[in-house]
Amino acid sequence: MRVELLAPAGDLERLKVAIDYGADAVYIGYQVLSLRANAINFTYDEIKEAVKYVHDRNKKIYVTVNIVLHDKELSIIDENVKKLSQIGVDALIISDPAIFKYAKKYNMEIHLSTQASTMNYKTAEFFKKQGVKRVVLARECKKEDIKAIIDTGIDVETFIHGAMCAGISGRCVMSNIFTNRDANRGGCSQICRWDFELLDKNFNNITANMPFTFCSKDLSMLKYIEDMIKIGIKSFKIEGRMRSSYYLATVISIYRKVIDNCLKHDKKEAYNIKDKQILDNCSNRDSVPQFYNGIYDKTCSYYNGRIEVSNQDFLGVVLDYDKKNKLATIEQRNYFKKGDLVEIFSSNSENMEFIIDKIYDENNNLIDIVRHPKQIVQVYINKNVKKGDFMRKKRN
Amino acid sequence: MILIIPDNYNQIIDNVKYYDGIILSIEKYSVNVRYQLNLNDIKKICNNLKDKDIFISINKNIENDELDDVENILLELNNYNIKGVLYSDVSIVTYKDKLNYELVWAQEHLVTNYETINYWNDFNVNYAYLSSDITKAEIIDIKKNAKSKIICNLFGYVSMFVSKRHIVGNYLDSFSIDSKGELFYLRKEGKIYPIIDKEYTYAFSNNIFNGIKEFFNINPNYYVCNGLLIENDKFSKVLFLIDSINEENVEQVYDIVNIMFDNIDTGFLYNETISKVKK
Repeated sequence: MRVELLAPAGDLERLKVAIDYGADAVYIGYQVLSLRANAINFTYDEIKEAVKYVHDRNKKIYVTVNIVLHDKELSIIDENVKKLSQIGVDALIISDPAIFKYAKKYNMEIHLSTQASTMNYKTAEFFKKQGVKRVVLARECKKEDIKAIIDTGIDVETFIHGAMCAGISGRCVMSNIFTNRDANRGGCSQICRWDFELLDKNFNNITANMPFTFCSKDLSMLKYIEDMIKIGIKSFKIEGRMRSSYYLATVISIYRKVIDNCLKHDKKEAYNIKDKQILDNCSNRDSVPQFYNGIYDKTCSYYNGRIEVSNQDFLGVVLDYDKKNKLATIEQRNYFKKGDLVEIFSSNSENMEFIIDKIYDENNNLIDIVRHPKQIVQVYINKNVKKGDFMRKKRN
Repeated sequence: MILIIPDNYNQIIDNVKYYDGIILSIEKYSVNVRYQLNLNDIKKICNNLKDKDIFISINKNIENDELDDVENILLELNNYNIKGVLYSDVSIVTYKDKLNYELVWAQEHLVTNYETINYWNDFNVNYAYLSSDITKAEIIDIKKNAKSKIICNLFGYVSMFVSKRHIVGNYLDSFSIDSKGELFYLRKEGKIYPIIDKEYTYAFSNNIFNGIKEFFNINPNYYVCNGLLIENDKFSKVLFLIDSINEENVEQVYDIVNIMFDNIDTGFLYNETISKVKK
C-alpha cells in the first residue's frame, strides 16, 4: 500500500526542497484564507508555479483554507476557491464547514483540517457524508481512535513530526487575550511557550526549580511508522510551514527512508536511533510520540530547564562547485574546522562523508576554522556536489 | 432573556428570580466549568425549575470510547424537559433526530460568522452560542443574517484555553510538588489568570467580561452570565442589577458592575483581534 508523505512549504524555495527530498505531496498557505500569517504564504501566481513544479513530478499540492471565518471574509470565499480550482490545486484543507459548498461547487477535493479537532468515528462519518474525502485528525487521537476512524472509510491523515499545540486546536485563544493576535486566524503568538508564576487557590506561589509553562515537547512518530502504515493511515503529515529548508530536507529525507523501508518490510532499516538523533538535533527540541500511545503525562511537557540538544549539525549550504579544482563554495551555518568528519546531504544522491582537509577563505588563504555565520569559504571535496546540497556533521 | 452558568448550587437557588434559564454542566463531558452534575442532580433541578429554560452543556471533545455513554445521556435527557444541549463535538449533531430538544452550536471560539451558523442550522441546530472573540459589530451582523437563535456572553470570565493534557498536574508531578485541588492561578506581568485542572485543563481570561453597556444594542435571544469564580453575593448583585436594567439606566448598571470588580473589561466587543501578522 502506498502511503503519502506530506510536507509543509512556506514558499516556493522550500516547496522545491520538500519535493526534491522525497515528499509525495506538499501543503501550502494561500495569502487570502490561510492560517500561519507569519509563514510567507503564497500569492496566486506563486501557487500556479508551485502546482506546475509539483505536478511535473507527479506529486500533489494542497492549499490550506483554514482560518476561522468572520463575516467580512464570507464574500471572498467563492471567488478564491474558484481561482484555486482553475489552476489544478489537488485539494483544499478546510476547517470551517461554511467553505464546503464552495469547494463542491468547483469540484475541489475537501480535506478537513486538524483545526476541526476530529477525535471520533461519528464525527468522521458525518463529514464523510458531507463530501469530505480526507480528515486530518486531532493531534489528541490515540491509536485506537485512529483505527476506528479509518474503519469509516474516510481517508485519514495524521501528524508524524513537528511542534505540538498545548491546547486542543480551535480551543486556545491565549494569543488573543495576551497579545490581541488571533490564534484561530493566523496570529498565534505561542503564549504556551511563555513562563508563568503558578499560584494555588489561595494565591500562594508554588515554586519549583523551573517556571511553569504550558509548553509540550515536539511530536516524533519515527518509531511508530510501521505500525501507522499497518493500521491504514493514508497520509503522514510533517508540521511546520515556517521551518527552514535544512529542517525540511532533513526531516523529509529521514521519514522518506523509514517509510520506504517499512513498505519493503526492511525492519532493520526502518528505525534507528541515529535518525532520531538527527531529527532531534535539527529541531533543537526533544520529541515524543505524544497521544498516539495514550501517554500524555509529564514526560510530554517541556520546562525551561530542559536539556538542550545541540543544533549545530547543520554546517553549511553548497553555493557552487568547481569541478576542475574540486572546490565547493560553502556558506557557513555553524562552526566547522579542518579535520571534522562531515557529510554532504543531497536530494538526488547518497549521502557522502569525508574529512575536511583544505579550507580557503574569500581571499584564497588556507584556513583551519570557519567560525563566522554566513562566511563564504571553499572546501576541497573530491566528489561532485551541487548547489543546494547541505553539509552537516557526520554522526556515527 | 438571561441564562446563568452556576459555579455552585447556591448560585442556582439564590438567584431564581433573576434568570430565565440556566446552563448546567454534566460530569465527565463538560469543560470550562467547576460545577458539574450527574444526571440525577440534573433531573432534580429540572423538576424544581419547571418554568426555566434549562440547557445542558456537553461541550467536551468526545472520544470514541465515550460515544455510547454520551448517546445514552442525550437520550435520557429526552425525559427531562430541557430546552437544549450545548455541544462542541460534531458527533452530537448526528443524534439530533432522536432528541426532543434543541441543539446549540457552542464551539466557543469558532462561532464567528453567520454562514457557518446557517450551515449547522441546515442540520436542525437552531441555536448558536457566539464566540467571545468577536466585536459588537460582528455580533450584530451575525444576528441579522443567521437563521438560528443567538446566545451571547454578557458577564463573567471567558475561556481562553482547553487541553486534554493535565497542564498543571504534569508540572506539579515533574517537580514532585504536593498541591491539592483543581483550581490554580497563573500570574504574568501582574495579571492573574484562573486555570482549572480536572479531566481536562482549562484556563480563563484575567478580566471578567462586562458586556452590559450593549445590552439593548445587541439584544440576542439569550445572554449568558457566568458565575464561575464570582463570589455568590457579588454574582447575585450583578444578576439583580441586570434584572433591573432598562434603556435609561443601562450605562449606570454597566458602571456599577465595573466598580464592583478590579479586573473587568469589555473583552473584544470594541477591539478587533489582529488576524494577519506580517514579519
